[in-house]
Amino acid sequence: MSHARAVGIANDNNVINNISGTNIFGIRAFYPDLGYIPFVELHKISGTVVNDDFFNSSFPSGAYFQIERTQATGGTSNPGSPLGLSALFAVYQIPVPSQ
Amino acid sequence: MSRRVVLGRRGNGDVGVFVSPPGVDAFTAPDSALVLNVTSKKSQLVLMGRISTNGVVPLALSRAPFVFLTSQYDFAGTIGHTLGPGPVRPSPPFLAGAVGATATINGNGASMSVTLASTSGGGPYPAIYQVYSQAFT
Repeated sequence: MSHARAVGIANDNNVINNISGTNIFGIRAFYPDLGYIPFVELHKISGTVVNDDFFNSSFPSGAYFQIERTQATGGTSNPGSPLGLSALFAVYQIPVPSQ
Repeated sequence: MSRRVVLGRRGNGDVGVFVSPPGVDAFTAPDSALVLNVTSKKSQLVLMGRISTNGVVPLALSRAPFVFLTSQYDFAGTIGHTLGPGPVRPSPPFLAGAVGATATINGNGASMSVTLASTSGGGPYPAIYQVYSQAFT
């Protein structure tokens, strides 16, 4: 059985890009560096309502999170200000096979 | 000389039993460098199940737990899919009118109401749920 190594709620109050001087906000989950890129689950949450991979009508089957060693970034990218979105995340102690 | 065995708390704050290979310090090595790592993790899977109609799943918990949902879909009729319906990632499948499944946590973890995914072509689709011991409220 695999245990979650880190769990939490990530919000979209993070500047994930800057395009022509405008900050782009998105969801970013932070977790400890396990020494490898781990398997990570992220799912949108609204209050006490947890979603499957559905994010919104523009991203019905997931919101393209990029998983890195200490963070995962994705969700809807919003210029200028965050939208107030949140996601549950769990980080598993399983390395993603690397080339 | 490196510390090959750590019993208790190691450098990153984890508590457990940690063993490293020769030449690697078990106190400071990343998890990936250890040959044995026994520790209590942040959360454990406490319940798994499958639900095929919208409904309420009793949890009997006192706080809202982490729940992950994966919807199922049947690609029967599509070449290469002959073994019947199963979990699909991402879910719901990227089909017209896709609306995802949701789990609403009731009463601080007493139960959860599951609403299944659908598309304009069908549904509701069954879903697999995983409930973890970690709470988010």
